[in-house]
Amino acid sequence: MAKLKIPKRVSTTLLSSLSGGVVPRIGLEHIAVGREKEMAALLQDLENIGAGGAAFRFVVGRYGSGKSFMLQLLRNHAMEQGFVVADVDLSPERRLAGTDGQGVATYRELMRNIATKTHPNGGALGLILEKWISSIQTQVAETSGLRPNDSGFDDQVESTILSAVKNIEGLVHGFDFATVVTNYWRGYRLDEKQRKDAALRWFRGEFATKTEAKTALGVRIIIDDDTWYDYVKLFAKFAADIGYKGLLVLFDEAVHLWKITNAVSRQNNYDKLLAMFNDTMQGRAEHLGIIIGGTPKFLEDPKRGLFTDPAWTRRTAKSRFAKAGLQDNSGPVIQLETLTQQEILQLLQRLADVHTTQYSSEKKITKSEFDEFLQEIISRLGANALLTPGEIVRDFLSVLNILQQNPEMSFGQVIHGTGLQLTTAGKKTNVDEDGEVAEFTL
Amino acid sequence: MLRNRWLLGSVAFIVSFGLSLLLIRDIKAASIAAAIAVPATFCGAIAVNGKQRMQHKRIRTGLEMEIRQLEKWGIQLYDHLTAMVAEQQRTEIHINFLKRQLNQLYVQTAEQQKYKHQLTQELIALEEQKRLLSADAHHWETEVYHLEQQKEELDLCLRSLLSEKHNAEAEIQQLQLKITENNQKSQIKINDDTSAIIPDEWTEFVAQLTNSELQVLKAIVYLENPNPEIKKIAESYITMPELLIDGINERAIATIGDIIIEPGSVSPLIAEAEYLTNIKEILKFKE
Repeated sequence: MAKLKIPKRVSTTLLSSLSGGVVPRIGLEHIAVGREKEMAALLQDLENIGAGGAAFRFVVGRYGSGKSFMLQLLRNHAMEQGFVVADVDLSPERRLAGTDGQGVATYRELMRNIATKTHPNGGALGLILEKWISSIQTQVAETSGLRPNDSGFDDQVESTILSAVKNIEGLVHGFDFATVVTNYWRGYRLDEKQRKDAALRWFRGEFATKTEAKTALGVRIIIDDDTWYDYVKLFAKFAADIGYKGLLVLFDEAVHLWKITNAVSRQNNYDKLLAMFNDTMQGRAEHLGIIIGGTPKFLEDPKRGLFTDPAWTRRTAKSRFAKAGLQDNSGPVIQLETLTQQEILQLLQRLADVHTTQYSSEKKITKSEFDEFLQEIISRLGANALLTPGEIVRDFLSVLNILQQNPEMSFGQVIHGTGLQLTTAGKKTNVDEDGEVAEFTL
Repeated sequence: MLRNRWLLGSVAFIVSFGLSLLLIRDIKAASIAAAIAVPATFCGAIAVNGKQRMQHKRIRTGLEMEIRQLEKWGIQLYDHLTAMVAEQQRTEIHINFLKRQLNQLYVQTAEQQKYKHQLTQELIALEEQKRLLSADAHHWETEVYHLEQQKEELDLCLRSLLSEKHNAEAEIQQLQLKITENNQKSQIKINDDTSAIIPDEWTEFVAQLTNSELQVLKAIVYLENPNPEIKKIAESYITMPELLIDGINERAIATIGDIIIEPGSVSPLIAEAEYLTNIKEILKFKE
């Protein structure tokens, strides 16, 4: 077993997230297994976006089947490849459309999480803005020969910002947008931190009223429920202009749209999705990728699922020729198949590697011990269909932790002993009141 | 016409009168029968006449249609004829053009032949020159031979000088070895202090930084509030602070595998305490 090279910061986060049952944001590539075809399809999408196109996908799988993992992995790949990424978990307060600020709340979260390779944890908005302004600065310095401390340089930069913004296609409130950018620039030049922050807050959609924006920045508009998606498209263009490959937007937990009880409100959200889908598929959006993660219920529920909308039925219908284990990954829906035993074994091995590196322990788990654990897990009733990678990983990590803390115990003792209660297949501890577990099929 | 009617009427009257008289032998009755026969005959004649006229009319329309068809053909033939005439004119023009081209080709061929003749003459002249040159070459070859002989003699001299030099160098090396041994003893002491702590990738990372990035890194490491200093650096390089930090982190990801400056905070910080000590060590060593 070759010793892995992972920075400790990464391995700590990785292990603690996984033991907590949540998907880690960093270091995923060290433990990713299987799903090569699905990943290849998504990576192909990235390539298309980088070339100026757009993409729209649903990643569909049961709870714990690895949707979120897949999205995070894609996010990391995209950052690595030079994309700007933004992700958000939808919730009752964060929807795609809403009259009470639910739409702009999603946008706010996206902007908070906007990340690049060097800002993997979000907050890259300032960087993007400064990169853009810096390109303007260079342009001014080149054409006028002025230096930053010469008089007139700031005015030149401002007027260049205005004319550059004027040339941005599809921007509705160009003048106000440019005013916010120049506010950021002035704030930076004059060391007025408040002004700089106000500009950033405006871009993040954090101004609730127009009056507030008017007093802080002198602009008449704010980003709201109706316009937020236009600004997402704008940022995609912006990102491409300053040398990134494009913008990748990830919406996870789309099942919350399905959960909306009010039919009109739910339909509005589905319509917004449709607008996004059409934008990307008809070439109205450039350098933009939209990936939606959701459970099968969100799409296929006969009463409230997305498929009940006829416009969606036609667009997302699975090909008649697709069947389990043999699916067409060029359609908008990517179904996550369950991992094979071989893949799970591989996953466990990688986890053990990370664990060994983290605690620099010398104790190694043999091949037969892996098999033993796997047998223990799959021999339980219905495990084949019910157990998800998320659960297996949590169980396995708790075994490793027990071994680490009690060096005198053997692997066999831990998994067969009474000390550890492995998660029973199909019975989740955090059962949702809406009963998503009910969708497990035998 | 009138006469014909008279004739027909009288014939019908006479024949009918004769026949009736022969059959019934009563002049009065025969006269009445003959009188009746006259209008009957006229009626028959009118019917026959009408039918004949219909037939004539049909024949006439048939003929008229044929005439119209023939006239149409006549017009088409005339059209064909004009097209043929035009085609003939075009062909004549084309033939004229081809003739002109042919003439031009004759002229060109003549020119080419002249050129070929010139080339053959030049070739002959060149062959003459080549003969002269080869005579020269022979002369130079003998010259080179003499020179090579001289070179060999000089080489011999050089080799003896080189062996002398080697001996001298060996002596120098021995002396240098002694010096480096002494130096290393002192160096190892210094290196043990630094390289034992700092992994190679860190040295590589710092080596890759540009001048501006190095200044920014120093500011972050040594200053409590590095923002004004970073702004000053950014201004002098016509860029922005976030960009400089971004550049440093990008190099860090490429070499160390992690970002080293925590972005997004109020003022930039080194991400890990371990990284900070590493950077401090390496910057100290660099200075």
